[in-house]
Amino acid sequence: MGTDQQFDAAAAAGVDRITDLPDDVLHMILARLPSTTDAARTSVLSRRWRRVWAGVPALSFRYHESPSSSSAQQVYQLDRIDAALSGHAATATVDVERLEIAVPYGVPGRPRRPVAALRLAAPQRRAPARRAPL
Amino acid sequence: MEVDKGKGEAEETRKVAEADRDTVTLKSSDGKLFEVSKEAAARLSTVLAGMIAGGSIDDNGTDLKQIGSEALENVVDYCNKHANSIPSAALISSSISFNTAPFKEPEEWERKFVDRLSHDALFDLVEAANFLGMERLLDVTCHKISEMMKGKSPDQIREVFNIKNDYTKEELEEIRQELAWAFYDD
Repeated sequence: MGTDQQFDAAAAAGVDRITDLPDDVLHMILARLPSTTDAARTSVLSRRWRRVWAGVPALSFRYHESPSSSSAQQVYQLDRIDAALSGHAATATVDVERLEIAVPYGVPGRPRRPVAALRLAAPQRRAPARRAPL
Repeated sequence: MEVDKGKGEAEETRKVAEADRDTVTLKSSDGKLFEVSKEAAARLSTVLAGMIAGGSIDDNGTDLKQIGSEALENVVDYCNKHANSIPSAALISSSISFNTAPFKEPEEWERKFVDRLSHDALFDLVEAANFLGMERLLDVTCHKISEMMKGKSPDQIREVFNIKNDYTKEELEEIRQELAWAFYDD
């Protein structure tokens, strides 16, 4: 267990150690990736990974802006954050405890869309549907 | 008689041990014994803290059947190093919420500590940390694993971790469409 020699043997045998970790631990690993986008991409790894990302109770999005970004590209990035928040709300298995959206501030001419993303984020936990009394 | 003499010696050592019992003895699944500072064990592991408080620590070696000797050696090593290098206040502040508290970056020595581990030893240590409720060690090892994923394509991640892709092509396409916001080309 753990020596380099044994590791080589394990690697040669193609032993998958990460997939057997409990969900809680996988959530901790995914939460440490740079953004929720990276976490969500792990859903294609294998069936076991399909919805692991949706159990991470922390969401993090970084809005990148390069000098060459056109205003259309910027809007597109924010649309993706909106889509991500909706997507997470639709599949999430936990309540979101932390939401982080990093957007550069005070760039002239940038559309004032971040607000839209935040508005969308706020009511993600839908109120329980009202049911007619039996 | 030999037996009596042996017993007397054992008595002697036990008395000494009881006098300054500031360590606990842990026993790995393969029967090896490790000593660790009681203070560090209680501070770093919720499970060991509970056992110490509950008096279920065995002076002859508390059985940890789920943990092999190599992983346990790393756990003990980590506890000892931790006891020497980090003020306990730094730890307490990081324990607000297990999954979501903004992470405290690993210290330089913690980084080195996990960097020297083989792939298997790293995963053995994650499992041990999880089993023992060692939040900070779990933090540090999970950080290391996330670094192994960072900036890699799904194919590369599968390769690093030997993950077998059991999806059909159609299923993969479906996921990519559902999560279009995550699969874009800039």
